[in-house]
Amino acid sequence: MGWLRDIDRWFMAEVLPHAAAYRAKAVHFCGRDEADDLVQEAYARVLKTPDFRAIVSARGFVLTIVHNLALERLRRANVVRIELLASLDMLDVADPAPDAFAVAAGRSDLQRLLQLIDSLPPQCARVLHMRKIQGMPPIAIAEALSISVSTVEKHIAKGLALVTKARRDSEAQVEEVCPAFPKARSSTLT
Amino acid sequence: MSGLSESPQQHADLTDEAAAWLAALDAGSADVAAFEAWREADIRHAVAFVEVASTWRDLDALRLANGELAREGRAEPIVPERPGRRHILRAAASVAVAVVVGGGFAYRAAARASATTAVGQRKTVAAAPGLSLDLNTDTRVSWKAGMPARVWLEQGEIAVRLAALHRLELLTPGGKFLLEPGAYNARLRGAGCELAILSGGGTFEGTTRRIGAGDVALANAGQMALRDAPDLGSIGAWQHDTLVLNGQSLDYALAEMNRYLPDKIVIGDPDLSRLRLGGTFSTTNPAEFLQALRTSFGVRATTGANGGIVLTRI
Repeated sequence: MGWLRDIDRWFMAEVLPHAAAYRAKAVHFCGRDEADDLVQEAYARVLKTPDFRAIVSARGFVLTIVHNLALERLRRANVVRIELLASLDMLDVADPAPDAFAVAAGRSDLQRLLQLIDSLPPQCARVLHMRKIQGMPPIAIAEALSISVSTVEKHIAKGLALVTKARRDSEAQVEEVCPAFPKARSSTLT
Repeated sequence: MSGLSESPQQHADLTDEAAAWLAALDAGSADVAAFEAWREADIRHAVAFVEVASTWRDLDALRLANGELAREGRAEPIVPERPGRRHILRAAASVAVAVVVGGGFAYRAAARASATTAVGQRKTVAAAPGLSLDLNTDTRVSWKAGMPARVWLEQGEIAVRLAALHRLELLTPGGKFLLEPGAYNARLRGAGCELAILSGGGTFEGTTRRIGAGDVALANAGQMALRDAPDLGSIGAWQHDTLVLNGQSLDYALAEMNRYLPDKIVIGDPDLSRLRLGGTFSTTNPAEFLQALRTSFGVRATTGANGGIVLTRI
């Protein structure tokens, strides 16, 4: 994938695997409706970091950004649950302790990915399957299915977008089972 | 459920745009300068693109080539082999195993291709038609194309992906596996070999017992035993440069982490080995792991003169 920059590769390796943890934290402070937006905003800040190589714990770094953004939003809001603000100040924001739940839930789960492909519209699933699982080049897929290369491209784009969104949704479900409060430390069992 | 916020919709649209760019880049039809301009225009574009690219990369892990097989998560029935051929294969393999156990890898070297990785390295090779191998750190493997293809795991750990209609003999110091299309993870442990079957299935030479998706087999001295499958996802985590821990001891965690590190981490305080940890850690960046130890347990990491890292209580 020659079109990726160094920061993109770093982001994929260090930041995205902990997506469920960022989202859990965002949901806790801002609620489900805003969580996605908050995490996206945090990602945007991270991707603008020029000296990203100096970041020791990407996870801790992003969690801190999510925390700060949440704080900004809460302070702008008219009505805030008082205990929420209190907990914001209490939290050890730099805590990069690993949460067992954040095990890149599903990100590396082959079966889950296959299910997602299966749930795509049939032609879309077929094309994505041929491209990514069978490793066929787009031209060969076009010939095999008697469609144009640009149609192959459209199916791939559609499938890829749908799978990406579905994975994001499944991360949103992970948050249900994870502690978003100072109990985050309980992830480290003794 | 108010759901009135516009952002989720915008977000979804950006994902669509990013996916369209990636598909166009992949097909070679994209104007690369226009793509760069789009990515530069708004940081949210860059975020959407990197997310989509991450999915794109993860989908590569599925390169199994057989939809039905993969979809079912289990293997096709074994095609019975003719007895005569089976005996020949077995005889040939026992020679191979004997040689491997004897520590000699020189025989027939000319006919085999091989690949190695150094400590901390990872590598993917397309070994033969329908056969791709991922080598984990400090690994040595050789192979020979054919029907079936043969792979000798001589050191370390590999992930194997075998496409439809192919068969594979996996030869390890512990014995030989006969594998059908699927995805596997094989790791040498001492003189034995642990084979995790992520999808697909097969048999172990000398037994009729079938092993299938979800099984973890231990081959040792020509014998095979099944053991309770741990989380299969964590077995393949190394392919994403991560180490997944779920309540294991620090001893275990260090043994795993040290496989990837030229400068090893050792425990300086015996009490520490009882700590149990959970989480996902980068195997390419031990600093993250050390930082987590410090924050969660108050464990200090000191780098010694020889580069090694010693852990003690603060």
